Amino acid sequence: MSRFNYPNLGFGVGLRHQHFNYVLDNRPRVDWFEIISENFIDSRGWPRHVLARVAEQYPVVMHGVSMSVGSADPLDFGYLTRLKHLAREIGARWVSDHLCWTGILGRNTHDLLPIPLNEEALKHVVRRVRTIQDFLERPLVMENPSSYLSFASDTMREWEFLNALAEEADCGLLLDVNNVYVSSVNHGFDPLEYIESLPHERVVQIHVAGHTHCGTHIVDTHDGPVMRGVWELYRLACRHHDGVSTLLEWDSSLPEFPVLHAEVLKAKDYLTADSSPPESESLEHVAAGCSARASRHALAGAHPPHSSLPEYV
Amino acid sequence: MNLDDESVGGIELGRLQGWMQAVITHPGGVGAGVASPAARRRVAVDAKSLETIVIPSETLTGAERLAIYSRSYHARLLQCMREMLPALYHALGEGLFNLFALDYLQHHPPRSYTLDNLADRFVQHLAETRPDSNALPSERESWPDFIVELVAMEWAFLKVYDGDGLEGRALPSAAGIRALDLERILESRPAPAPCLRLFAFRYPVHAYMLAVRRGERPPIPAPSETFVAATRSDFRVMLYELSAQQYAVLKAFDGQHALKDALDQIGSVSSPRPHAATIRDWLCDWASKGFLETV
Ligand SMILES: [Fe+2]
Repeated sequence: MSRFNYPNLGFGVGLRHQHFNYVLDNRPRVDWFEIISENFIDSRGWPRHVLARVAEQYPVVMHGVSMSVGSADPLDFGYLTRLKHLAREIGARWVSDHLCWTGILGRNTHDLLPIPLNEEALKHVVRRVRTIQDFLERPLVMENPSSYLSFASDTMREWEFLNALAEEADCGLLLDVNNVYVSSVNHGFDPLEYIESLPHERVVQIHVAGHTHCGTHIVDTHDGPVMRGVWELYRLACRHHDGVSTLLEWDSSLPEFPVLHAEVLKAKDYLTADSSPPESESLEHVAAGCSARASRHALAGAHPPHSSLPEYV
Repeated sequence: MNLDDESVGGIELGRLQGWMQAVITHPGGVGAGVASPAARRRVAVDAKSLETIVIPSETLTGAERLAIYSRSYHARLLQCMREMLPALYHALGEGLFNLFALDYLQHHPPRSYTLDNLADRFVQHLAETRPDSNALPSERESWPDFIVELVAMEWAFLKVYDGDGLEGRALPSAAGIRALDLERILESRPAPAPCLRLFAFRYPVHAYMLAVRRGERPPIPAPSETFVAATRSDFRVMLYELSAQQYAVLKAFDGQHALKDALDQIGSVSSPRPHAATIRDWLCDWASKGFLETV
């Protein structure tokens, strides 16, 4: 089993509304873009227009946060239909979402909530991933989330669950090495064992991101440079590949586009130079993100850019 | 604890998720959430037996781990509301804004796959829960009007920004309209653009919103009857002040009725009735501003 013919796109970044004008005006030499699907599927305005133009010039991947694959609620086929249309419209290279649930009883918490890691949940998720893949007519790519709690009913480790899921549902994997790092601290497991145990032939994409150490736990705040420990995991994961699509997630306190681009290119630099992972200015900075954890994916790009202020006469 | 419907992995998945959602979305925090009927109906644990469901880590109790999700649920939605409604945030200040927003979110928790619909019912909720909602309109205080109108303006701004527009379409030209004789003008059936929103406000909330969005810190304005059109042109949201007459005429456009019938319809509320030549000037102006899809 190979990676479903999903190509190595190189080193990409998220397309965020703060950078719309920069990207259109400067055509930066970034390899590819990832979008948060929910920020575009209903847009009939500037965001959708920008996306169409970006998709003409760059490979685009769709990354979702509301599929709620692990929820006991029925699948939302209205949502999946829109996802499918957008994927066709922009020629999305692939569609990904998370191993999580986001709500139940018709609600959406807009968070990536953990599922119990046991046989019952596995069967449920496998069934749903298969249904979604049939509907979207393409393999789904599932990401490991970061998590902050675990259930007494867990009977397997997350990597065991992912192995079984990928095999039984025949789906791809998006390995977020920052999430592995974050969860390894929060749950006290060995991140190296996690990485080494994955079915790397199914890993289509890797995420790197910044996080915040809160003393008692780590939060994946996506608000700064990638930490050293995460780069170490990235390098370890890359030993299993001869090149895998790599994307930097940075959603809060977003810097200027060139800074963002330079951050993801660090991966390229030290992978080829075989140097030590770059030092981040502050290892594991303690920051306001601990109490809020508010700046996650779904918020990114949801609001109009300030450059489009209304005018009146 | 009660584990009647135990399945292979413990509590049946839907019950476990219903419980967790009730706990982490409870406005009173995890303790109140665990004790709430909505949670206990699904999993009857208390603060002590909670760890038979959520296990502790080396550094955190089960309740503390749940609290990470509880805090972030509220913080994320509040942050989103704040970013979407910056002028309301400025008007109310953080404490009152959070109070209003949390009350709304408790009554109307998010159900959509996108956060873009988060405050769809906020205007309605504020109108229904204003402290004087049972009083006669003449006896009501006016500051709640300002709040309700401000949210209506801010929300419309976002909807116009990202909703249907006329970009890329052939639109009626001002020159074409000017060339029509007055008889033809009166027979025309102007259709409003899908992005056009019309407002009759008691407060100039549009100017207040714009000032906040420019980074200013405006005071709450004095009441002043204001008519506003919001529309979109080349993906930019544009706001225009209208006269009462212009507002009434635009409001009557539906693409089906001839302009002269629309004028008859508004004749009783808008006097004196505007002259056809004036209306032609208005149509030219409105066409150039992107108010109209067809004329
Ligand atoms: Fe990720």
